[in-house]
Amino acid sequence: MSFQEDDYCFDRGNEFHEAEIKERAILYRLTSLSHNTPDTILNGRGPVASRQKGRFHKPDQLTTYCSNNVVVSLAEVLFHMYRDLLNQLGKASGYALIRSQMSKLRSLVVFRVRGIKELVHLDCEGVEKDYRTRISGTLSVWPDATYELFDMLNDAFRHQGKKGVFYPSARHAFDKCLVLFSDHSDRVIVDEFHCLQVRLQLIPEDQDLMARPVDFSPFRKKVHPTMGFYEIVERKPFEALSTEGWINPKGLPALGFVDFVRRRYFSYPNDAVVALA
Amino acid sequence: MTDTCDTSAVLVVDDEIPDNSTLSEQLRQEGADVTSVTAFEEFIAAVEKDVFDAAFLDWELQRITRGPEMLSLLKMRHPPTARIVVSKHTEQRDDARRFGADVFISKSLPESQKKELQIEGMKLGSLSNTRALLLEMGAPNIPGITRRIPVSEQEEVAVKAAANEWCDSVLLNGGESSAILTLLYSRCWRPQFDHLGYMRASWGRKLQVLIQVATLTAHDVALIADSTPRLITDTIDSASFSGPAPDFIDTLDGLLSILAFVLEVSEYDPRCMALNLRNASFADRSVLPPPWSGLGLSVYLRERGSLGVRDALEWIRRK
Repeated sequence: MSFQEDDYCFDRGNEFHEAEIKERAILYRLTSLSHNTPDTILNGRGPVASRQKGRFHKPDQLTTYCSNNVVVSLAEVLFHMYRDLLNQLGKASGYALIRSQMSKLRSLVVFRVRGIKELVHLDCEGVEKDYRTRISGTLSVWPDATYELFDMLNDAFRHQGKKGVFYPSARHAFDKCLVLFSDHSDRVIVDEFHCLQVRLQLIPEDQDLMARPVDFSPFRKKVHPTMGFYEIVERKPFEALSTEGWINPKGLPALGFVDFVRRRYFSYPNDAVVALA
Repeated sequence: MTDTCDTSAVLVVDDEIPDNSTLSEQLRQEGADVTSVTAFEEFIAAVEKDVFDAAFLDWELQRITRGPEMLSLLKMRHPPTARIVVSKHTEQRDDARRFGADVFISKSLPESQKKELQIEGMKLGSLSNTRALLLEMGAPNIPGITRRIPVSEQEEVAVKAAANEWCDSVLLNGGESSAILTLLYSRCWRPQFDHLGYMRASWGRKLQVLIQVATLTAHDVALIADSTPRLITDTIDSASFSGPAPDFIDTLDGLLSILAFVLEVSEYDPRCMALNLRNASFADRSVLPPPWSGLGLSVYLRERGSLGVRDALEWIRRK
């Protein structure tokens, strides 16, 4: 069975916050080459190991971020590469370390999960009222929102036993990000689990969108602040998954340039991804 | 690790088609990328168009002695190419040497001896050509080689070591390394990391691979994880992210993340990764230098154990 929009149950009218994932829904996660196995993909231990804080987690909280759209994952990770590069440049982190931020190999993990209930749909009036939060609408896509407002909401969701949250990506205006609280390894359907190698690359401001990007120094050229490049290295398995309907959005090219700012797409995914032949 | 290397580029010049085909096929079986020609004009066109590691030359083409001209032209256009004369007439050996042949192969020799000479000839060309390319790229301190067969193992080792040391220093100093790496990888002079194999491996296997690439011993890992070499081996062999002691698994997982980070910073070059793990000045000019500054990561982790893993990973992930 191919990707089904109805597998992600939340109120598209943005009123009610109750949400869930149906049995055998497909999830996407762009992760390191080291943590892409069925036993590590949803174990949520990243924040525990690194003791770093994020939008929906404190350093000691088991948490996994994924999505229901490959472009959401690509845009999020490319944006974080860009932001990390700026931070590393600001901290004068060393040339080799800075250059390693410019291009990354990642695993695109495409997998089915057993149903997950007790989720929250963040971007709706119900959350505003029931959780007494100001986070909705524009504020829900505030890119730097890892602070008090989100901390309080995160605490409230976890305290109420919620399993995770559907929320809008701050980097892509179509489909959703999904954060899962705690270890959900038992929800992963091991036999329906696929890993594809992806190369992600930051590009210069003057990148010719008809040409493949080349390595460049961020000390010599300015890095494009809203766009990056991706390439699915393993083309044949990707085409096979696309044909079988595993990939959302349908028609996603194997390589191209992706915006990592939210905007309106008149034709999707063509307006969000500049395909490269 | 992978062992896929580019083949040697070889030119075969022989007007006797059966001999040309046989030699070309033999060289292909040895992994060479063979261009074969039968006429002098074709030889000229080939050497003007491409650079070869080795050229196998028939002394006479269409009953005209062409050996001296071909040797001179090759020597002038691309001196590193190994020049190998193949002939029925052993009396031409001295002339061939005089005009610059590195190897003379008599067609009447037993097959096994011919094969040995062919392989040594290609080896000489590959070493000589790669050395010349490195010098063109600006490699310093690449030792010279003697143009003779069999190739001196000592000289070969010395050239490869110098090339790799230069590559290490370019990588560690953040210089432009892609052309050098491409050359060394293509010649199998430097181990490559098998990304796809690694990506598909289990959690335990990934840890095994990176520990091996980092040249850490089970004893080192035991010190890092506050454990024993036996427990380390058993845990990694069990291949899954689970175990009776979650803290222990977390430490090993933290070590995996740290090693993966160093590999990524090292542009997935195994040699460079091992060096970076021992590099005491890694990012030490940073506004927030890493906790292992002055010691090197491997020493720091061995000394600090699981606390060191936690602190190192925190620095790595602090964006």
